[in-house]
Amino acid sequence: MTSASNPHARRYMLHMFLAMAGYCAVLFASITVLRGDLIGNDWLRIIIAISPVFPALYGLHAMIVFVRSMDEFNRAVLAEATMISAGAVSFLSFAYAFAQQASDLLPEIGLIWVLPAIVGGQGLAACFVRGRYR
Amino acid sequence: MKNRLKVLRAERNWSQAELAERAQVSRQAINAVETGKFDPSLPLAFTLAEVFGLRIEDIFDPKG
Repeated sequence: MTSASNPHARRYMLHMFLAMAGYCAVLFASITVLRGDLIGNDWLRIIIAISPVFPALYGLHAMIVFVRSMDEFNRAVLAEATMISAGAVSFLSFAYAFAQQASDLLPEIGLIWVLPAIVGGQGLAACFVRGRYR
Repeated sequence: MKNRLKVLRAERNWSQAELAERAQVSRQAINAVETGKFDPSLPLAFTLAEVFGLRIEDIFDPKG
């Protein structure tokens, strides 16, 4: 997806690094505050808990800017990979929820895993999609 | 869709990377179009035609 000689890719990597650094810092701070039991108000606790999402959204913005700089072929590959990954994660989680409700054998899986599953699935799907055009 | 990109490139002694640079797309895009696995958009087809100094129909054959 990226190339060191591509200025758009370099800018993307820089902004993504900043987003991830911000995410880690805010995540660490929010966990520290929430574990310290310094705040009792539930709404304030929720706002602090979701605060790491904001720097992550900056990463999403960097990704959108980078995708817009791509040529139509790479955009098509990425769009197809994203569709495959989102579809696979959606239907797998849908099926898992049915199975989980029918039996006590399966543990509950938190929604926190949806985003990493889609991102990881997209990377994997992009390899297969790209391979089809070789 | 069939095309004559490979022949036209060879006539000018251009590599895929060189054509990609002239058309301002990635080398992978040129390879995918050249092998007929990816149909270019109208703007890209016009760009490629301009790079070769030809008309679109001189490069691409929709019946292929």
